[in-house]
Amino acid sequence: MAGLLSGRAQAAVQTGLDVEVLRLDNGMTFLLVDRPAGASVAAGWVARVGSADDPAGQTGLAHFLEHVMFKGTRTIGTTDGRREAELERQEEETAESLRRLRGEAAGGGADGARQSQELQDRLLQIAGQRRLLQVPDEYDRIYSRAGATGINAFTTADLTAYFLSLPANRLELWFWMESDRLLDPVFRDFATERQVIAEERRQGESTPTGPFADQLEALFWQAHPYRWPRLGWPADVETLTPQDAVRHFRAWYGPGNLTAVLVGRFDRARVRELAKRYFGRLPPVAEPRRVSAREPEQRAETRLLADCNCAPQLEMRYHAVPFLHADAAALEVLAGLLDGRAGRLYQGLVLGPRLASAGSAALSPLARAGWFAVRLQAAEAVPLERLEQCWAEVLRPLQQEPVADRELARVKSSLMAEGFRQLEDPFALMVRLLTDAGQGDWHALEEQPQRLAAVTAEDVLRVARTYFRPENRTVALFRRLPPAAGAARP
Amino acid sequence: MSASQGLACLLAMRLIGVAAPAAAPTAGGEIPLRPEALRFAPLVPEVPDPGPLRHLVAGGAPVYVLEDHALPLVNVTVQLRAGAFLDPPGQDGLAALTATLVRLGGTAQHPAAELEESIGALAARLGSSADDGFATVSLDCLSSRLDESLDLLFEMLAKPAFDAAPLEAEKRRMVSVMATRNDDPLRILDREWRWLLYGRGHVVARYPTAPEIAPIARQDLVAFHARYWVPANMVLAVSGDVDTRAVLARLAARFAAFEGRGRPAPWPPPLPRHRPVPGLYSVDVASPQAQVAIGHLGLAWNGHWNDRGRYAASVAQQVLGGGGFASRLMRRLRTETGLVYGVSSALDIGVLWPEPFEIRFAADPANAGRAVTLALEEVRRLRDTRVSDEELETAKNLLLMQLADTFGSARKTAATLALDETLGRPHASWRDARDHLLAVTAEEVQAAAQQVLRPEEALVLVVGSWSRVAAAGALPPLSHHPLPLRDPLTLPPAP
Repeated sequence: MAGLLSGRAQAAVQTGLDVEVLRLDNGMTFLLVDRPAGASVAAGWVARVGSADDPAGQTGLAHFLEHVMFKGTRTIGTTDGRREAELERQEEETAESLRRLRGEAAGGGADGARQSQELQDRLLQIAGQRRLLQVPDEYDRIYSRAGATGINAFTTADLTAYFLSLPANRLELWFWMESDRLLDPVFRDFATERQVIAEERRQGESTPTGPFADQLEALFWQAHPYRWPRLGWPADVETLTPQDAVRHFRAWYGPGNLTAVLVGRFDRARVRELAKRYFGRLPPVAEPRRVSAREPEQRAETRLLADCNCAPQLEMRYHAVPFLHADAAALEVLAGLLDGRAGRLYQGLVLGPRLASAGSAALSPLARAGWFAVRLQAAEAVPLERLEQCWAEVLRPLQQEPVADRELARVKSSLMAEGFRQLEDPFALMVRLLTDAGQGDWHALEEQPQRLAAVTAEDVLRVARTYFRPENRTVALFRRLPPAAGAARP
Repeated sequence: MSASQGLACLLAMRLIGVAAPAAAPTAGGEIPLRPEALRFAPLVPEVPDPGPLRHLVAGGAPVYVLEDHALPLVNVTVQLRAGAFLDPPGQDGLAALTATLVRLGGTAQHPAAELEESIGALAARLGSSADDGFATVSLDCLSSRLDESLDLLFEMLAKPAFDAAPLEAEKRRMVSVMATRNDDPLRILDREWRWLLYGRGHVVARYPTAPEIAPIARQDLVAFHARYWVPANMVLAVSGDVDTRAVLARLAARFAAFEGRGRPAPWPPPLPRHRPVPGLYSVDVASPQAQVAIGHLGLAWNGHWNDRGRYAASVAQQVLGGGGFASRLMRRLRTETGLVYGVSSALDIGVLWPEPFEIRFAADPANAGRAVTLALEEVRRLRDTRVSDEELETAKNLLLMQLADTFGSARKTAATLALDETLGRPHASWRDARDHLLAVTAEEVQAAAQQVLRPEEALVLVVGSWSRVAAAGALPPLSHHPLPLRDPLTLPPAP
C-alpha cells in the first residue's frame, strides 16, 4: 500500500486541512478551516474538562454543568438580569440560614421548627419570583430563529464540547452568544435539570446491556477517575448545587483551557477580528490543575457476569494506550486486522465455522489512558466459554508471527482513506477537531497518515504481545435471561 | 461535458445554498447589548438547476454528475427501484438479502473473500442495501483509483455470484438480529406502531421471520437480481474529484456489461389500505422507561407538489416538536416539567405513501401518562391558537436551512437529484418548497394544523411496565387494547 496514499492523496491529507491557528492574548485558541463551497459554518468550542475531572463525591458535575450551560446568562433567559441577580443572592443567603439552622437545631423545638418553616416559605417565594423573570430556552430560541441547527453539546471523560451549524452570514451571532455565556452564565432550573438527567440515565439503562455499563467501567478501572460514570453516581448527582456548578465553571472554563473550531464559509480576516473583539473579553484565569491519576498495573483478570435481555455476547477489554501514544497507530492497525467484513473476526468466526453472529474490535484512546475492546456475539447454541476460546484462537497467530504484507497494506490503506473521508463533512470535521483538541492535540488528524504509514508488521506483533495478556483484561459475559424473567406478558 | 463546463458547474455549486449577502456587520470594537441588534439578510436558499447536471449514458441509466475537486475523493451512488415492496409473497426479506449479497456474495470474477481483499487494497468503501422502496449501492474511492473501483462496482452490479457461504452467514445474521427483536423496548414500539398504522400487509410494516428467511436460496436472489437489478431501474449520482466527460465515458463502457436494459419495475409501490383504529395500546415489558408514540397516519404528496397547505403543515409540526428546544413539546415536557430527556414530533410528507404524524418520547413509567396528556394538550393548542411571529420565523428558517443543507455539498446535491428521479419527485418541487415556505402565514399554519393534526383520531402506544404506567393514572380516556409480546422469530399474527 505504501504507494497508494503516499503521493497526491497523502499530501492532500496534510495540506487539505489548512488549519489556521489563532491564539488570543487571554490564551484561548481558535482553529479555522475554510470550506467556501458550503452555505453554513460548523462552529464549536471545547473545554478540556470531563467527567474524570469531577471532584470526588461530586461525580456528574461536568455533565450537569454542560446541561445548565444552556440556561442563559445575565442577558439571555431573563427579562431583568439585575433583579434576578439580587433574588439569587437572597436565595443563597436564605438557603445558608436554613442550613445553619438545621445544623444547630437538632432539637430546636417549636421555635426552630417555626423558623425553619419560615425560611422554606421564603425560598419558595424567591423561586417563584425568579421564575416570573425567566424566559425559558431563550438561548436555543435565538439561535433557532436565526436558522441554526444541531445545537448540542456532549461530555466525555476528558472534555466538554458545545457546537452547532448556522448560516454563513450569521456567524457573528455565534460570537455574541458563546462569548456571552462564557462571560456571565446563569445556571437556572437546577432542580428540573436534575430530573432530566435522571431520565437520561434511565434511557441508557433501558438498552439491552445498558444496566451494566457503569459497573463495567468501575470494574475495568481500578483507581483512575475514568471509572466514574459520565452522568455521575445518582447519589452524588442528588447533592450537586448551582454553587458547585459555578465553582467548576470558574475553575475549568477559563479561556486558556478552551479551543474553538470553525469549519465552513467565512472570511478569515473578519473571523480573526470577531474572535478578538468578542472572546478577547474573557479574563484569563490560572490554568486548572488536573489530578495526575495513573492507573496501576492490573495483575489479574477481572470478570463481569451479567444476565440481561440481550443476545449472548462477550466483551474482552484490555488496558491499552492513551491518545497520541507511540503504540496507538499499531493498535489501530491491529483493530483494522480484526474488524470489518474483511477482518479476521468476521472471516474466521462468522463466515466459516459459524461460531459468532457478529464481531468487532476497536481502540478507544482517552487523554490519559485507553483500552482496546473486542466484542463477539455468539451464534445460536454456541456457549460463551467457546466464544472465549475462539478469541484466543484468533489472537494466537497475531502474537506468534508478523502479519503478511498484503493484509497489512490493505488495512493501512483502508484506515488512511477513512481518515480522508473524515475531512469531507464540515460538521463531522469540526467535531473531530474539537475532540482531538479536547484530548490534548488537534494535530492528530493531520499526523494520522504518517503514523499509520510507519506501522510495520513487527510493530503489530509487538503490541499484540504487549497488551493482549489475560491479566491485563476485563472479560464481560452477557447471558440471555429466560423470556419470562425479562418481560411481563399480558 | 467539457472541462470548462465542469468548472462552470463547480462555480455554480459555490453559489448554491443560502444566499449570503453580507450581514449588517458591527463596526470594529462594538458589541451590541443584545443579539437582536445584529441584523442579517433573510435566508433564501438557492436551488440548483438540474438541467446541466443530468446525463444519459448510452445503453445505461440517467447520471447526475457534480464535480468537486476539494479532496481527491469520488462517490458513485446507484439507486434502483428494487426495494422490499417487490418481495414475492412468503419471501419477505428477499430484496434486502439480494442487495446485501450483491456486496458480500462475490462476483463472477472475484469470489467473496477475494472481493473483500480487492476493495481493501483499493482503500475503497462499497455498500449495498435495500429499504422498503428502493435499493442503494454506494462506492467511495480515491480519484486516483476510480477505474479499478468502478470495475468492482460494476462487477457487483452486473455479475454478482451470490456465493453460498456469505449468503448463509447473512441469513444467520438476520435471524440472530430477529432474536433480539424484543430486547429493546424501542424496537418493540417501532414494530407495533407500524402495524397499528399501516396494517401488517403493507411493505412499511412487513418484518421478515425466521421461517420465511430459511428457504430463500441462491436461485431466488439470482432471479430477483435478473428481474430488477437492470439499467432500466437505475439512476446514478456521481460527485467529487471527476471530470464529467471522462467519467461518463467510463460509465458507458461499463454499462456494456449488462445484457440489455431490462424492464422497469412496477412503480409506484402500492398504498396502504389499513384504517388505523384510535385508542390506547400497550405492550407490557419490564423496563426503567416507558417508550411512547402518539399520532396517526399523515400526508403524502399524491402529486400535489405545489400545495401550499402541505408546507404550512410542515411549519405547524416544526413549531410543535421539530425544532428541538425551540419547539413547544420540548419546552413543555422537558424544560418546564422535566418529564423527558428528549421529545420530538414528525410529519414527513410521503413521496410513495403517507408518512405518520407522530410524537415520540421515553419517560419514567410513573410519568408517562402525564406526558401523554401534556403532549396532546400541545397538539390541541396548536390547532386552537395562532402561532407567534417568533415561532413562525423560527420554523420557517429551520425548514429553509434543511432545504439548503439538502444541496449543501456536491455529494448531497447529486444524491438528491438522483433520488428525485428514482422516486418520481419533480426537481421543481424544491423551488416550490422554498417559495411556499417563504410565503406561509400564521393563519395558514393554524388552518393546516386543524386539518392535518387530529387528536381525536390519535393512537397512543406505550411499551413499558404497564402496571406502573396505569397505576400513576393521568392517561387520556381512550379505549385500552393490550398487545401481546410476540415471539421474535415468528411474529405470530395478532389475536
